[in-house]
Amino acid sequence: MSVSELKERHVAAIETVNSLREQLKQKRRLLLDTDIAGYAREQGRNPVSFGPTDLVCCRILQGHTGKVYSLDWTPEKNKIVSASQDGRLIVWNALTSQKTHAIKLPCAWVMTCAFSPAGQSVACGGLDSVCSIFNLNSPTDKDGNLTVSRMLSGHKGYVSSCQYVPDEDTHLITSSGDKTCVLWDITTGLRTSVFGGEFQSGHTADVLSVSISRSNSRMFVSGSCDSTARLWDTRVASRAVRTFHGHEGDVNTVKFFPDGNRFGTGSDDGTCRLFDVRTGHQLQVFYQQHGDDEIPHVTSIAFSISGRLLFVGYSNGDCYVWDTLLAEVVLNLGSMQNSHEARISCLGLSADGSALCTGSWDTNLKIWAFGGHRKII
Amino acid sequence: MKCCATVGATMQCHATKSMLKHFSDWLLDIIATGDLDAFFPAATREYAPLVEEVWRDPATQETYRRKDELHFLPDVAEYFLSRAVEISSNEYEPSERDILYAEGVTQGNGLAFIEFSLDDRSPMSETYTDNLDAPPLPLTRYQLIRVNAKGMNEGCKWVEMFEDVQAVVFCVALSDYDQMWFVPESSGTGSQLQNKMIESKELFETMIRHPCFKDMPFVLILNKYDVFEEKVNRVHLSACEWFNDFSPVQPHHNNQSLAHQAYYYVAMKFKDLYASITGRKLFVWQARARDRVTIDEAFKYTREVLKWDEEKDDNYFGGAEDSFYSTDMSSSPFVRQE
Repeated sequence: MSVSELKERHVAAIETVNSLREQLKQKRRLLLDTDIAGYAREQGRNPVSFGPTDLVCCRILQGHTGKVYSLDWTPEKNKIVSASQDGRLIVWNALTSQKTHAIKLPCAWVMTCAFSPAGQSVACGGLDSVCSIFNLNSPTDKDGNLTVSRMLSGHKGYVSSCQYVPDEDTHLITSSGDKTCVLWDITTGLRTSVFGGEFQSGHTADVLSVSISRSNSRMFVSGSCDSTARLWDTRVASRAVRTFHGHEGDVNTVKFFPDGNRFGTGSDDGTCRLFDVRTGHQLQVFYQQHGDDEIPHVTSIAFSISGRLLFVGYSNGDCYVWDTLLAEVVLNLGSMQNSHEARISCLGLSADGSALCTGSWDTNLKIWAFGGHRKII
Repeated sequence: MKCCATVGATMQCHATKSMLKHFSDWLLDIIATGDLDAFFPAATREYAPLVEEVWRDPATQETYRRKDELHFLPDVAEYFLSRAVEISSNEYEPSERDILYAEGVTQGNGLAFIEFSLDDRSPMSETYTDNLDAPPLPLTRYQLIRVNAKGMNEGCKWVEMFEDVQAVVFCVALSDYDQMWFVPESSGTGSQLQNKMIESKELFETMIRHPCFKDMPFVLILNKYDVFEEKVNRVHLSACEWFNDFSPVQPHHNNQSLAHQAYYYVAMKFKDLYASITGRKLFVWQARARDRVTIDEAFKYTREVLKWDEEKDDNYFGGAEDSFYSTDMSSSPFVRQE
């Protein structure tokens, strides 16, 4: 077969795939008779109500001299690691606001950071295309700096996001601007699996975020600039388990729902969406009209422990608390006292769910705690 | 070694000795598998004389003379391959020139950055020539970040991290106007050959349109002027379709005059493009990147641009106009006048 014939067949095959995809979209639309909010309202459920003292800013973590890009809590104790454009990682004690470590990074252009499950190491990555691991217990050099204990190199583009595999200090997953996600073995520094890439069906644009399921650590979801989220099984690197369409802009963030059967996504199109892992359906869209103003991008999301609340950070500094069941905004941390003055770039819930930490381009991190007892509705 | 193998591959079209062919086939296999350890470092000294012999073979030399048609041949091939034995020896120490020509290697595929200081002396300041006893002027620290567009793919998400920089230095190789390379097709079905200059123009346009760089001064450095000067007399500028309306003033007395006109024309094309999108002035400088003097001047020019940008907000009268570094290329003292 000649090259031009192959090309023709390729173009025809792509057209077939596109039309099948369109048919699939129509079929899904037919089957989707309602969304979560519609159903919940029919059942007579009411949105969660927040009083003025229910969620307040109780700590302001100051110390970074540049925009905060990423943060992560330890799975057990109350420590937070944050990464900033000033080229440092800072480890904070969330209860006392004290800084326990300030790590100067070899490359200042850091985009992500993560705590290991045991809380002994932190990982970070950015425009240097490398994921660097620091052991918090290792001795500092003569200048008082922690040295890198492991460098995971191999990506051909920037490292946008990293997360340790739950309960495994030796494995982590990174997402990158080279359109791939990689599962690393930290002890050897080698890649165990590459998801996507040149010869495999994966994302077709930069991958911006990963989230590993807590209930089944073999499953993880990734979000990309190609407007899709993809579900992967770490045992099968050759193709994604499923691709989730729906967003109309870069998917900046993905997060698994606590029970592992659903996941949420946030995008440049200003919406968050909830997808079902098993059926592939889009269950809910979380979007609030803003009038004629430019639509703010969703930069980061987190679910509460039960999943009833969805915390969303936006590029205009707002931080909405959504009632996931009824798809209504029940609180806006951006309009409260002590709110951030610039874009919210990252947020995360503590392990016990009692506090939310937000990081912003105003160089601060803020911890919001739930005061009082909640009545179960 | 890559130069050698590429040349080796292309010289298959010319008759050559079978032993050299065998050697170049072996090199090609190594490149294909990416296993450079099979050659470096142990084998280099052993095979260096053979590499030099391949290089000096008349077939190779003939192919090299046609290098403009070969898209992936590095133009430093001659500089290094003619000294293959010298470079492979144990006593070899790279000279400054060698380092410049090797263009450096970045760890991984990420960006590279360097911090340096330039003093704030400017020819316009009083202390420049007259007062030799003046206290040393404060040094301003600069950070230069090299972002290699090839390593960073088509997506521009990473660009948002550079929202706070003070100026963008965009480098374009003048001699690329007749060069082609493969770019991935937008429909994703493969890659096609595109003119490198057009590719640069498109990237430039994407950058200036990006919301991050609104109100950001851009400095365009038109590089490889020496190669351009020689080439423009052999290959007409319209080899790049963007330069179709180039009509030099005739008669031109020597090669330099045509190159000068062509350079001015290219600078104007970029300036017009920039002004049509942003309504502002584009700062252009000419350079030969391997010649340290022109790069030194380019940085001093960039420093001036940064200063003007700061001063324009101070409502300082006559600041930009009086500067020694004019944005009008024809009056610049650094461009050869005829």
